[in-house]
Amino acid sequence: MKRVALPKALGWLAPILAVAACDDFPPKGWFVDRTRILGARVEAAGDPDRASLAAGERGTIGWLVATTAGTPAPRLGWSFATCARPAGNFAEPRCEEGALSSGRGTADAPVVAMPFEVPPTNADELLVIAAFCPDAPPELEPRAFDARCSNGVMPLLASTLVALRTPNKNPRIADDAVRVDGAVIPPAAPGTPCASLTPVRGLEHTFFFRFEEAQREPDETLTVSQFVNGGDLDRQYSVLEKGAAPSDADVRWNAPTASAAGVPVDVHFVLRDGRGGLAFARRTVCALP
Amino acid sequence: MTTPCLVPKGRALALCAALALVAGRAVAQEPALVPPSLVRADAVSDPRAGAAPRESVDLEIDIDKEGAVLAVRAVGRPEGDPLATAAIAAAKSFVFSPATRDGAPVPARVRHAVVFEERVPVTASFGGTITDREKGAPIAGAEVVLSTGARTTTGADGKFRFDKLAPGPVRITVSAEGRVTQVVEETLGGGELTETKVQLEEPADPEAFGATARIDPPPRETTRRSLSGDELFRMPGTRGDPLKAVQLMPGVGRQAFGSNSVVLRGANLYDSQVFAEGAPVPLLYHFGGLSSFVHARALEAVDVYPSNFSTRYGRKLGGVIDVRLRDPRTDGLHGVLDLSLIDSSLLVEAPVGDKLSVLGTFRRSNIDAVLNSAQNTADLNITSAPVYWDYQSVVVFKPSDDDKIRLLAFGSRDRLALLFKKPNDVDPSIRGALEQSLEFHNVQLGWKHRFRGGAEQSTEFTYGRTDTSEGFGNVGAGKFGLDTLQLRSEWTVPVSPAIRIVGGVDVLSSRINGQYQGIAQPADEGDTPIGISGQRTISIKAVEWIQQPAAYLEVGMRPFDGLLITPGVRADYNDFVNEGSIDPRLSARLELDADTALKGGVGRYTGHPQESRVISPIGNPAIGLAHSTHATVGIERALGERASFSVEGFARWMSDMVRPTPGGRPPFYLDDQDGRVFGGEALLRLKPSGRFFGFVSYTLMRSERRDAGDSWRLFDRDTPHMVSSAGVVRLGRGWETGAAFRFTSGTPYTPIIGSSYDARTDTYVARRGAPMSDRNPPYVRLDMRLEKKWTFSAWALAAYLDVQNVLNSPNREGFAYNYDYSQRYGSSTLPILPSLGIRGEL
Repeated sequence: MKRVALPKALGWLAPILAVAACDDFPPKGWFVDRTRILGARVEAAGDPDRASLAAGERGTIGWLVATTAGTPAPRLGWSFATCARPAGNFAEPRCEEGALSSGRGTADAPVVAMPFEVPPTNADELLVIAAFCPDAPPELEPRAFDARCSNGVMPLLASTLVALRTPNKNPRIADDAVRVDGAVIPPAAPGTPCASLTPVRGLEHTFFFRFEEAQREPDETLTVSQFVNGGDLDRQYSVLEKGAAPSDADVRWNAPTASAAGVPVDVHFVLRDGRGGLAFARRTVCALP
Repeated sequence: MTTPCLVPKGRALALCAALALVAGRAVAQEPALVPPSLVRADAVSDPRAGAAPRESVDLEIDIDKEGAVLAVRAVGRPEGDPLATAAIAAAKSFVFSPATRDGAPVPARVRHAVVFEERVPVTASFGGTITDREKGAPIAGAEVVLSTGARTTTGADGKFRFDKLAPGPVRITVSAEGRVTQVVEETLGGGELTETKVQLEEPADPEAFGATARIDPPPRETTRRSLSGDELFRMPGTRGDPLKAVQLMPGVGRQAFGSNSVVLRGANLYDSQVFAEGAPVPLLYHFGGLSSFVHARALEAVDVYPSNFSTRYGRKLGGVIDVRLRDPRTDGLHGVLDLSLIDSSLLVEAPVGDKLSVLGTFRRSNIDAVLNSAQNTADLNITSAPVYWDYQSVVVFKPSDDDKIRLLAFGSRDRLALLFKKPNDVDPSIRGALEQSLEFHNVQLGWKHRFRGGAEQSTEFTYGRTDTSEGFGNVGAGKFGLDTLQLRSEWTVPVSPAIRIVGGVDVLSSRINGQYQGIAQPADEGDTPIGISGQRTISIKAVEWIQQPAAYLEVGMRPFDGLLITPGVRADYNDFVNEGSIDPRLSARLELDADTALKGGVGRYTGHPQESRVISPIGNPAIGLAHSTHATVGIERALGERASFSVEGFARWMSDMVRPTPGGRPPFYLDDQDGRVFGGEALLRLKPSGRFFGFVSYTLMRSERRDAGDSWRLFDRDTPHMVSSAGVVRLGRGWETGAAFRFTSGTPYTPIIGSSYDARTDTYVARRGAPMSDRNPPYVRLDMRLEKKWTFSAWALAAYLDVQNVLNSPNREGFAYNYDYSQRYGSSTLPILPSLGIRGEL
């Protein structure tokens, strides 16, 4: 008898188990210890709920940027390029054939909006690669997806895909979908003083994210990513599987040690439908002793 | 009147014709009639076997006026008589000068007698001298038993002799009271006396290793390393598992994490094959190396051919491991019960009557009893800890001294199931239930027959069924079944004492049936994609029949004593890729003296691609066969009776190997990869005898790959230096201890030099540096074993402690990374692993 050679599990089981076995290695993805991109929301011009575009149509990609606790949002120079999604089962995000379109600009975090127009293409999906530099313009090389900041800082590199053939809507996060210890966390503007934020006292808390059927289209699996820039989260992801009844995702959070004046902690919830649709909610709580 | 007799070339052929009617007219009418005369007669082959009397066949032959034979009839012989048939066949090729009348040619009818002379069988004689190894004195009264059943005892001068034996291979068992029994194999030449010298030794003490020493005939392969006898299950760190001991052999790379096979002389895992009794099996080890798939005590031997294997094997570019199951014992009921923390096993064997004997084994893992309760955490639930079982059964029936029929059945199952209670923080696709199982069963019916004259044939028919099942959340799920039918038939014909011909067929027919949906299978060699969420999914549903017939021929030639040259050729065909191959191979062995032999081999080898690389829509149907050339030269030297030393240099050049396209782009795979391997091995070995056995080996090797258009790079399992040593000593009073040490260079890897954020999946995509430009730290491992055995009158009990990785070396193999690849952590292999067990032997 010969070896069963058709897709055999051991090939991908080994890397999976290797990754899974490293659950306790810090730092975790949920901890914002530097300026990071946390997601990209695609919105069709005039229809922000729509995440899919057509060739020639205009839209905007809003990149959600998070910073460390107490750090003001930096001014980011950005540059992007678009091309058809490269073929291949393990394709890396690069415009090997060159960019179909490109753009550059400057924006203030926390959301960097890049207006663009879908170039003529027969592709099912459009790859958008982007580079960000704090306080400087980046030079983006799309074929290798490499970039350089003029001030010598390491650039942030990020990519996303825009659906061109399959219609899709962005999910929605209701204002009251995010709670801490059962209390709704209202949105707050960046820089709001700790005393005006939702207070949380002590160390052990729980964030709740309310999954709702209205958030998704049929047969979608929703994944919410949670991020904080203070304290420790129990995990980064919560998933509402396709076909499963919606319920609350609860994530335990150990708040950071705080002085009497309190420590503001940003909490980000990024909701994805797995097909390119995305919504995010940024909240800030005040951690108190 | 009779015609003159013709006896061509001394052969018993007489021509005696009666032309009564024609001759009568010739006398009455002048001038006389001239009868036809035989001008050419080929030799008539005698169809009879063995001894036979002189016989004559009368033929009536019609001849035309050209002298050609028109018709031949046997007179007085029944229809289908073999002698008449042979005589008629020969007479049809006779050529006559035509009969004439008045000088003009005319048709004629003649009587002709074909004589078959008395047939005296060609026999062989065999004799020799039995002496004491230490003193050199002849041993009187030693019993010499041949595999034909003949037996005798030596005289006062230590000599023995057999006459009237059938020529061909024979196995000789020599025993004498107070001496270690020896088994020797010889090939007897027809019409001559073959002599041998056998030295028997006294056992060093009652606890010495090796009750029976086995001397095999010179191998057909350049390099064959065999484990047998005590070496099979006494190697430290193997828990008595001979297939784990294989990893200590030179040229055998250390087992890759999660792999169920081994790397032989720098070949890809897929390019080497494990056989059980000549039939391919899908795995060598349970669950990445805990244990092999076969019970050690059911083994006759394990043969490792790291390259330059004979024409008997094919379809692979690398090496071969062949596991041979032994016959059941025929001297009563025996059994072995082995209980350890890792697994438990039972072996039972017994004769059933005079001609039938049976053996059966079963083994099951015990790991689940420990893991199910201890390893469940808040994040991970082991719903089914690694469970494996395997079995082997052997039924042997010997209807005669020349026939052996074996019915084998063996199989194995591995299953693992996990439940990830929450999505992994590095990649949310890693969540949910993970399940994987592999199960196979083989049934083999074999018949071996020895013909008079020394020829042998062995035929094995094997049916196998393999089922794989795998699933992990959204990552992938699939089920495949594989049915295989294999026919192997091999004939060995000793044409003369100097020439032996081996020919055979090896027909493999496979049916694959199954489906899979999920991420694509990563490459076998080279970089492995790490991110899962960003990968495209593939889907396949397949039902395929694949035919792989092959035939081979070898000729073993001894142009003079001490030199064996074995040229051979193997022809293969694969209807899945619609391509065939013809691979010539040559090996030679020159015995310079009784202790030293030079050997070498060169040959072409063909590798058949994995079906998943060829089948549409996930593979490339244009992929063909891969090829390699193996070359090995070496020298072996016996150092006294117990030790041996060998040095070998080897090279392998590979071409047309399958490699994945960059990024997994269509057509997903191409067959344009080249490979080259160069190296040398040295092995010093002390056979199990006396109170100690062991070996030390060193391998120096470099293995490289080159994709089309690229420069050479390192093979991802390249290990330039490998040092292995193992030793076992019996301390007395039933105590036995041993240690095994293994050092290998670290394997190369491609470093990760950065990452970019994938906003669609909230994961990071690694950015890679130069391929295989960095190397893991060396692998160092020390294993130890301690055993105490109590021997009673009818049975024995042993308790043992086998400790793997005594030094608890981390032995890093690759890395795990944090979420954005900015930090990495070495992935370690097995930590220190003690295994305590008891074994009862009946």
